[in-house]
Amino acid sequence: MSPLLQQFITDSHDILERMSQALLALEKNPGDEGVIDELFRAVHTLKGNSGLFDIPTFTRVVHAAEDLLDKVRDKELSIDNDLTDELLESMDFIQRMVDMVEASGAIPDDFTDEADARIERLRALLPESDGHDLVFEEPADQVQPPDTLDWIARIPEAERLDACLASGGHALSAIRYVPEPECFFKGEDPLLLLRNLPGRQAFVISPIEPYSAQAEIDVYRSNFELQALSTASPAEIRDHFRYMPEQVAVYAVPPTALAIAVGEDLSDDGLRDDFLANAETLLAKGDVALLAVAAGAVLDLISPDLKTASMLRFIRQLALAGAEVPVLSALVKALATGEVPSLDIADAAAESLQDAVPPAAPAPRVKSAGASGLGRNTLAVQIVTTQRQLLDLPVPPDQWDGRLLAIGNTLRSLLAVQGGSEAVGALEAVLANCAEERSFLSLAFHLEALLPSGDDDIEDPSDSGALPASVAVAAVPVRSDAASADTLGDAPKAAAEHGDKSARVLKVPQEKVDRLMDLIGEMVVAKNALPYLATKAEEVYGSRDLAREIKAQFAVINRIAEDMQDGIMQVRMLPMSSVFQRFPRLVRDVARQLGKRVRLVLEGEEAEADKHIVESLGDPLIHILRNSLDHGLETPEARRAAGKPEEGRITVRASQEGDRVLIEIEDDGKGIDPAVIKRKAFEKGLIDETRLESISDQEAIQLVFAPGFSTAETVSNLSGRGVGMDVVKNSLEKIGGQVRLTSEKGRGTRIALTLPLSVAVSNVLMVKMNGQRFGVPMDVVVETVRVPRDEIHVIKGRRVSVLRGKIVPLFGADELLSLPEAPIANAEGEYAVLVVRVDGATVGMIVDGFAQTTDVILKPLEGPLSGLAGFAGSALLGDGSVLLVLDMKELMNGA
Amino acid sequence: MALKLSKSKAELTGEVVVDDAEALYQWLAANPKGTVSLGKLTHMHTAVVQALAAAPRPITAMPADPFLAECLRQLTAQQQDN
Repeated sequence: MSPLLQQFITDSHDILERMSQALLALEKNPGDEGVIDELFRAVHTLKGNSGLFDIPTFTRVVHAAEDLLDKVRDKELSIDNDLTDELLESMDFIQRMVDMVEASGAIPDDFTDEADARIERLRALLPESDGHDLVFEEPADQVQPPDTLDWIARIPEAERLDACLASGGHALSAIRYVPEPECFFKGEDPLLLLRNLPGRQAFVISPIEPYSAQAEIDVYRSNFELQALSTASPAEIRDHFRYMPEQVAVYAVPPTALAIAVGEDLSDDGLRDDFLANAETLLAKGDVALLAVAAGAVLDLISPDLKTASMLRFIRQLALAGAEVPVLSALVKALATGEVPSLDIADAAAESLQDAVPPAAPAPRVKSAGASGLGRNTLAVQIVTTQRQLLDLPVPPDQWDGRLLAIGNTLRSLLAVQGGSEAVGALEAVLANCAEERSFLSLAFHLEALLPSGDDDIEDPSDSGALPASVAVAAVPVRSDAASADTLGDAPKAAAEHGDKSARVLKVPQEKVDRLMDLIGEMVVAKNALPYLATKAEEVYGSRDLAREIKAQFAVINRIAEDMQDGIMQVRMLPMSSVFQRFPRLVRDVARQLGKRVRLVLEGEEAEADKHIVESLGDPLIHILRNSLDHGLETPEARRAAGKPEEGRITVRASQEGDRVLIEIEDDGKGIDPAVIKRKAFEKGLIDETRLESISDQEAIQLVFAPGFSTAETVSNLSGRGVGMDVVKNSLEKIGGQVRLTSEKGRGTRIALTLPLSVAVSNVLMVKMNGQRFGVPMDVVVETVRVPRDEIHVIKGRRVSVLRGKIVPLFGADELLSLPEAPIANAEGEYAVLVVRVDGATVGMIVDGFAQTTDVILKPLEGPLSGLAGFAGSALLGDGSVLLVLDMKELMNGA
Repeated sequence: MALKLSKSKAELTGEVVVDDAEALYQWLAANPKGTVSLGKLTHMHTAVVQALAAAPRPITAMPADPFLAECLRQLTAQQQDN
């Protein structure tokens, strides 16, 4: 799969995700224009992106959704539940298409029918009056080229002649620059811009409102209109005015337009007719040089003040400049008729020159001439090609920003003329993306897409131009960027505005971070060797000073290593919001399906935990939420009957507690009836009769976590599809989490999950057994006690002891680990007992003795060892020895 | 100081920046008979040009810079046309 397609897929997921959030937000608050705009931008981006790939079905559906949202944006349509449903379903469909593209690179044909039906349904929601196509919107304040070229007549003839010479007989760029009134406050100096205009020829400054007509004049409100001629290309000029593109119109002026003869309209003794006859022959032969000479000869003879003389000067000048025959014929004709070279002629000439200079700004916005117009325009293609090549050149880091800026400016000016506002918007987005990623990659793709390929015939050029825009929209929801993640489509815009800020956010492949973490882990282990070395220096080599110095060094290295570890953990941290954002949609859909009214309250979304933890949380949480919705909350009628508000409430709350993160899911539904649970459990054979009698309500509730337990009477399509709470529990325990459930009948249920903040480093307690050390994860350890031999009782071959008023079964570590020798008691005849909590039960393990606790990087057992039950993994200790870490749960189950 | 204002004459030298526009305009409004000397002017901000265009006064010395001279020529000439 091409990286471009890959990026498209990633971005599409992202956009769809944010769109669904926006839709839900909108349903609650239909008037929020900000959200509507975001939504529209997002779908627009999606459409644009899809245009780059051969997935017309996709584009069509998105387009239909875009049309609908456009109407919403224009307030012709209001958001209601049905509309939201339709849009959400369409988004699901789009999502499925994205999945298909991801899996197979294309959308199968059988999607076409559904797509058609969907488009039909979306169209049906459009208001009747829809007749006009809103393909393109002109920014209201975009300065347009003037209607006439009258202003040129105000330029003195001498300057116009100079301009003719400078033009080389080709069209000139004309600029109409209307600085906005407030421009002075933005630090702009329009005259300075004009002064520094590349290739500047003649210019005209005029007040927009005559000053004499104004009673009070504010000198700090610009009242000027500037018009100028330039030999520079439109691209250069656009670049020059890059900070105020909307205030500038650039268009082409043929040199004939400059040839406005002025002077006295007096007789010239027939010299004009002589010249005309001569000129016709010369032009027929194409002898431009001789025409210049002929014009010069006549000029020597007649009064320079004559109108004829004026026109002749233009003819000579343009002939000298090397103008083409059609241009000169137009002038000669004008001389014959005594009129100004007519605009028709001028246009014809301009057309013939189109290759050299693209026409005025508005023309390229015509749909057919969009980005694919680039294909015909050799100059534009050259510029883009050059920029593309620039991207491939190596660039020193300190010049990187400059390079991007320069290339961006060039392209921006070019596209502003060539592709219209849409293409520029697309480019901006790509540029923002580049700045963010500090990579030219997406820009390179963008340019490749713009450049004509062999069979380039893009259906909708404006779209193809806009396409990689969406690529950029995937505002990296990196942690520090969480804020930008909730504003959807305009992330790139924001990024562009805060270019400096976003440029400091890095997007790094996870493998790199993982590798760094592994290395730091090794570093931590390596530094732990220093205390051993210190001991050796003292004991073996007898150098106490050296030992002290090593210890001092160790303290320093230890601090740095810990900081490093802390730092890398921070990098991997992800806010809970990245999982939570999936919930509103889920809850809404399920609630609507069940006919329940639910309010979802999310709290503590900013709490952070390791990426791995956060990501593994998604599915279990969704399962719990579904359960709450399906089994927990009652229907509005039932709630009313029970004297509760009709709207149920589910709260998902995340918070940090020490080195663990706590997530609570609370509903105010009917709660769990322990009696029902007990009966069910008994029926399913999960508990026996005695246990049925003795079990406490609180314990009974925990039975929902037992494998094979499901209370749903009928299998609904929500919960109860055979995946029970036991799966939730297991998947959470795999990442070191714990689940606690409390419920009060009629009042609601609360499930509390606690998870480690990070999985990388585990805190283990080391125990000694048969001269070997084993690690036990600290989170299962309850306490370590010394139990005198005579307090250990043997019941039916099982050892037990009474600890804090409870009977605790004891197991010898030798039995559990198949070690040859039984645990030894200390001099006082006391055994070391490690009390752990496994599956809610407290058990003790008798060992030889305890050692210290330590932080280790736990590595799962691999290869032939991976089949060994009872071990969570191995870890390397500072002295180079390997520590086996026990999995107490597995050990106890085997006992 | 790029802007020197006396009772009868405003002298602009070097580069006259945007902040001076207000002062110049006030002066021009208060001294209808004052003259303006721009001989040593190298650049003036658009707002300054606007002040001169809005309240035209006899210019005793045109700027040596052809661009500025052209700007003033156009703006003060138009004033007379209107």
